[in-house]
Amino acid sequence: MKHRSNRRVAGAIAAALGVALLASACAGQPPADTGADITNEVFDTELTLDELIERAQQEGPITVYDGTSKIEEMAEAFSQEYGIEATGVKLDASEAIELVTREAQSGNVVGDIVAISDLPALTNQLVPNGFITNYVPAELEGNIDESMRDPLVLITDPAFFTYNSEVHDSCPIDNVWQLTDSEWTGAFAIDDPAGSNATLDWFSQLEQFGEDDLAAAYEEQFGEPLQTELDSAAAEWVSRLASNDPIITQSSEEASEAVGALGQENPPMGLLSSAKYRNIDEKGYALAVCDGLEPFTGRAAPKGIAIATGTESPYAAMLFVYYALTQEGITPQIDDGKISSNSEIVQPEDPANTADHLDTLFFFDNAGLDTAWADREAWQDLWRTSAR
Amino acid sequence: MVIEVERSTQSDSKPGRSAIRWPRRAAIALRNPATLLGLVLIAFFGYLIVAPVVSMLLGAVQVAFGDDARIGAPAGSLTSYYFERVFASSVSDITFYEPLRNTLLLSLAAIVLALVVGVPVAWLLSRTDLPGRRWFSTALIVPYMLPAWTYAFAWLTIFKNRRVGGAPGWVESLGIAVPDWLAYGPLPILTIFTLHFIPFVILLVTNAMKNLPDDLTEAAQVLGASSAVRTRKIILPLLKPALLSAATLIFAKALGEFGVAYVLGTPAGFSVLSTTLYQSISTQQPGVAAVIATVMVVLGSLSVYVDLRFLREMKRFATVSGRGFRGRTRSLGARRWPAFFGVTGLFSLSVVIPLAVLVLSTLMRIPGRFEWSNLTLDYWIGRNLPTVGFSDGILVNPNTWEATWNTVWMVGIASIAAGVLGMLVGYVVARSPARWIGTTLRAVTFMPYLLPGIAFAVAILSLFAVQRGPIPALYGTALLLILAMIADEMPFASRAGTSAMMQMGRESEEAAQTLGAGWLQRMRRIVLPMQRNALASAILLPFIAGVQGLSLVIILATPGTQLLTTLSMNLVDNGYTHASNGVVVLICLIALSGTWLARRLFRADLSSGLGS
Repeated sequence: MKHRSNRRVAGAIAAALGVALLASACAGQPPADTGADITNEVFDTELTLDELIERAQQEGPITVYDGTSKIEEMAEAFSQEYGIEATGVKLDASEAIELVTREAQSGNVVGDIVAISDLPALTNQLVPNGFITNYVPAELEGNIDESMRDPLVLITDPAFFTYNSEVHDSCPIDNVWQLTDSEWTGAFAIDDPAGSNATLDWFSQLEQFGEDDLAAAYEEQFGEPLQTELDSAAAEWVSRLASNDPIITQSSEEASEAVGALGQENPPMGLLSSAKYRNIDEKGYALAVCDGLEPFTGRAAPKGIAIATGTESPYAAMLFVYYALTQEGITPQIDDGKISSNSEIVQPEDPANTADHLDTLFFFDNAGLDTAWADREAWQDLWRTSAR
Repeated sequence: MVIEVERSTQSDSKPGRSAIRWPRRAAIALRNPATLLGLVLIAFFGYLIVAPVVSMLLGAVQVAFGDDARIGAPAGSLTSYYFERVFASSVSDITFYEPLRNTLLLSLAAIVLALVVGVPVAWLLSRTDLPGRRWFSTALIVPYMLPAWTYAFAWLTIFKNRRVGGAPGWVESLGIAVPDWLAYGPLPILTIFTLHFIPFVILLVTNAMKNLPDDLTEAAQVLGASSAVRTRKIILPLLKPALLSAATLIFAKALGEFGVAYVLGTPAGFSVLSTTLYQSISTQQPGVAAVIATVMVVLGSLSVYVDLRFLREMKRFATVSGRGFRGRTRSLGARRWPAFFGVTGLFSLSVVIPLAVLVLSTLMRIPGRFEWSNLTLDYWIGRNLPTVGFSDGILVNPNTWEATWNTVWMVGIASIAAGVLGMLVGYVVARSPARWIGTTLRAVTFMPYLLPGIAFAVAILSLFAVQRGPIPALYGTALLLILAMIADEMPFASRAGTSAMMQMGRESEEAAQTLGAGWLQRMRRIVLPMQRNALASAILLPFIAGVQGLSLVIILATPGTQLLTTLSMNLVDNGYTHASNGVVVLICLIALSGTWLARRLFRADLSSGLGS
């Protein structure tokens, strides 16, 4: 009896394995060489804008993936402007990367244009395989900072160090190192860094390009040069911040409530996306940017835009990229404080007054993307071990 | 004659079974339509479920795109890097072992608590004259129609304290300080899991209790067995499949439930496996995610294995026989009202309070401010609201109605298909002489339940992105989404089908067979009519789960197709939590109307025609 039941279980397992093997034969992860070295010369174009529009209007419909639902509005406006049918689909970075990869591998491209906030993944996972192509409209190239051209940055998304303006008349701190002090233990709200690319990459960018500023700020705060066993001032700051029992939130929305809700006695500070400042109007929160904070008032994380190499509507896709870099095209996104990479675009007024803080924001540099990608696990580990 | 042969292959106790050689056994087995049906189903689900799962799990041992430099091997080649990173790195303790411990303890505790509360309630609902039991039998499964995060939301609204800042919690605003252990961490998570999972127990156990034949217990009573002995020797063994089913479902659900544990666990530094999984998916580490998912699948499979082992014994008890000895109602006497208040208390805790918090949040201009002037119906019926992205109230917004319609028809079709398939799976499990077919089918149809939804969706996508043999490219079609929903909903459907079919005696069918009825006729005239209630619940369970499903929709819906869940997510994305909570209320209403309709049309409700 015992023996027989074992055999039956073994039989069932063998059957399941058999099915699995059969099935995986056609479904396994495709080999690495699929799609490699695909280039599409069509994107190397010298067309003038009018010629581009003319060709684009022969094409379509197109679909755009982006991490914000505002893309629906942008796509609609694009359709009205040029008469090319366009659909915007909201997908977060990891979803978009999966879709673009699978679509490219199968040759069944649905997303013609993709805007992704995870630039290191974009350059390391999608570009080398030829799944996407970087296209910078020639007319606008001069307006875009060189550190934002490859891959092309669409907008940067600022997050500001924020205080509660009901309780405090001005920012209660003037140096980011103060956040690692006992006075701010359990009183700094931030999106879970262990699950946020933008934050992990920011740590890496700080180490690569903000090291001197951070070290100088340390000396200013504590009156002596920083001595650290870790690799950098950035690592030391991150480690101290993590061990200071910060309030980990799931979204910037929660962080905005933690900082900005009225009627608090000792409200925390927080790192909030500029978009959340509209809660001042919509929910009555008291939020203000920490002006004068050393060495920066916040960070601006980039979102890239690229074209799926296998698109059937290359000209329409190029036209959309162009459109998304114009004042009219990007308005839905920059309305709440996002910053276009096209420096000619006038920053509209927004509740966080982003326009006034452009000089004190920490911007990412594309040159640091590969290091950020390589070190992502290390920063995640540093945060986790320090937070313990 | 045929019947005799079937019998002899079926029964374990008959000697000489192993003496029959396998070709002959196979020939006999194939003569039974259930075997053939089983093979067809295995092929179907093999493609729809196993293939995506395997392709996903392969990611645990293959170098992902972009990791080639880090690992030093080309993308696609075999690697143990991800396993080492999860099991043996300097952070393994933080990201794996401790969450694993927490996950296991939490799931087991949730099972025990849900059973301890759920089984007595199921008994009250099915076998006693509890006042309003018919109403309660629907009302108490509402928690299953609310997404789990609703409970976390309600809990935080009530209990949150200064640990996370923000507006004060309700208790706190009364001047009472809330300790951290009450506000965050294992206690609230376990409480919510228990409340949220009790409906599983009620659903599955009420059904089984309804079918408990009185003749057995009466016989025991006549023979002088005490009530404790009767419970232990007769009732519990008969309930075992239902209890095990409930425990397995709860275990797997608790394993994968992410939102509650993340929201309430993080402030207390309490993490579970799904937290790590989520973090690795969102930081673009698919290899690590695949390893964690593998661990989850293995844990879930173990629970299915335990379930299967115990279930095998159940073959001996067939209690739905078509003969009229349905269980009789017992009078509670003086205990009637205490029981009533107990059940009412459970209803308040698990339905009224969370739902009230949810609805209130859609009626307040500024969250948490209890003043009449702060109340408004604007978010439901207002026009030109200041919330720019969604400027009309929920009920007067065309987006809502479009999303509602999409949800209803897509999930509706998928659930009906899943329900019918589930009954067929159950039939094969109960009837096929080749038992490995049933075992395999049950294991395979349960798989989607163990997987992170997004990973499953992506895997399905890669399978149907291009034409493969006779299977066309379905990417970007509504059909693909519906197929994926069917796969995703099979765990419920096949369990409902199996537990129903296991209890169905074979006499009626055999009688018809002797009279010369073919298989199709037997199915149509005997099996399906007898299992009408079960079919209704095999359709309804997936429907309710399906209207809440999100990850499949995000990945697989045709661009621009909005469902209620995506609509609600977009609203959250815009910071319009009140509107998004309103949409969740709508989702719950749709699930409720589905339950009501099914009761009307099939004259059967989820927890099965009580009082009929």
